[in-house]
Amino acid sequence: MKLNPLFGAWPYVALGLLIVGILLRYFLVRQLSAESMEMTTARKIFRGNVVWRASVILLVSWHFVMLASPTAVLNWNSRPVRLYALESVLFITAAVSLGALVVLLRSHLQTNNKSLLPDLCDAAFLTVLFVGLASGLAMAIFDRWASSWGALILSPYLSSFLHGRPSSDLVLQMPWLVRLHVFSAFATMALFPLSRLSIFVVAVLRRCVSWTGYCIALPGRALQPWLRKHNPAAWLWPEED
Amino acid sequence: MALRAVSGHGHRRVTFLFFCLLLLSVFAHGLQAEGDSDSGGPTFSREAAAIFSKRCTACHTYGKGIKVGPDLKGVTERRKHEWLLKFIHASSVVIKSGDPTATALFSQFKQQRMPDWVDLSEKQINDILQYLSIGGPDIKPADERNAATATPRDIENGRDLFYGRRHFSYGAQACVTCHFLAGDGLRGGSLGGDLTRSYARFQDKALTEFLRAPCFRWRTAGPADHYLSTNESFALKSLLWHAGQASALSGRKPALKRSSSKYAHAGAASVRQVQPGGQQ
Repeated sequence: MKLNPLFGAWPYVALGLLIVGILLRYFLVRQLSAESMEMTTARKIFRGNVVWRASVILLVSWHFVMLASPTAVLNWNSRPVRLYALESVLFITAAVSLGALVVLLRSHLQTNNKSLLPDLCDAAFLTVLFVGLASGLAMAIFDRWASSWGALILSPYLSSFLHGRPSSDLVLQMPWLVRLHVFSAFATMALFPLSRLSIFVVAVLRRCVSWTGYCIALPGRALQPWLRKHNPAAWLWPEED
Repeated sequence: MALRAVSGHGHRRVTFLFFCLLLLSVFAHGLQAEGDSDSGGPTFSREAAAIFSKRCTACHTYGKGIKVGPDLKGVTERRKHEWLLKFIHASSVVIKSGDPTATALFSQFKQQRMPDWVDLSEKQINDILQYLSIGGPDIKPADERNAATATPRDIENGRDLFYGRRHFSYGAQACVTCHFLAGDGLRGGSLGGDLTRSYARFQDKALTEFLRAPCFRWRTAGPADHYLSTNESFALKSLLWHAGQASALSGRKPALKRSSSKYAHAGAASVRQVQPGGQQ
């Protein structure tokens, strides 16, 4: 099977980079003090205001809903009033989010930074995010009702990608704005581990790992008093008592 | 106690009524599905048409004269139904029995006997005969009807399908998801472009071909070999014809952002074979 480099192979490369990058960061940042320091810096760069955070959460959730449940989206959009309402909300959210991102990017570029490489990575991540948001907004303007046709075209594309047989034709037949939007989404995914924002995921991963370890050790810990009480050693080697 | 007995009886009655209604709704749905199928013209068994095409056309024509065997146009009027049934099932037996019609045909066609189609059931043969009696291979699918002959009801059906007010039988998506027609405001999507002048551009024959293949690789609920029923296809063609006429009358210029065929590769492939203007 020959994969299209942009929409067949690139998504897998981006996913691989995301997983490997997060794991590398997890193993490299072992000291909790370093982790908390990086989290403080990341908060300064990416936190922004409430509007930025709310709009990003709303947009990410929307993309998740559209891709995971296209039928529900199409049913919702079957009534013109509901379609207009959804598209208006999404358009305003994306516009607000783009504005907030511009502010964030400008403040990041204007800050006198000490460490060049992490700052460059953050700037690259924010820029790709900007491209994704801007292309999404342009799509809403020039290719009307993306919530409907996106559910029909991009959801099967993502599904085919997750099943290991990416139908890149679905995206290749789309206007360049749509292609740019999809490509930048995967680029954001690939650059995410390089940005300081990924430290939050690393922290969550660390908590998950320690919680799993705790859960695994729990039965052993619970059995300890019982094993002490019913120690078979006394029965096996009575002379040692 | 008496009250409990009555309520138990009532409960059974309600259950019975419920099942009756359920059966009725299933039956009604079946009827509706049958009615919605490609029944633009006379109805016939698709299997019969396939059998005819596979087994009969090698030796017979339908209205094009003698081939190896006789022309089958009007055969159901020339011969009795029972005779045809017996002859198709086992021609050798009928000839051996000394049947005058069978022996005459046998000698007329250089003593070449028709194969005995013993594997065909009586129902299958009946279906083939019914298919031949209503026009056989001459039957035109409903979507090949010229859109200019469309009734207001056909156009309204097309509008319902275009705007998703009625679902397509095989799960295809409403055209309005990606396309729009001039004068419908912002209701339609602009990804696939304006379809107002598509009829004028492609004309009847090419548009019929276009509507036979999916305009995009949608994820449809229906089987891969079905896209639109012939009635749906005709209804859509009627709407596009009507939209073109209305636009021409009002002198409205189409807000054509992109060619409607730019992103319609599957459909465009079929249209490429049929040139605009309906010339093949």
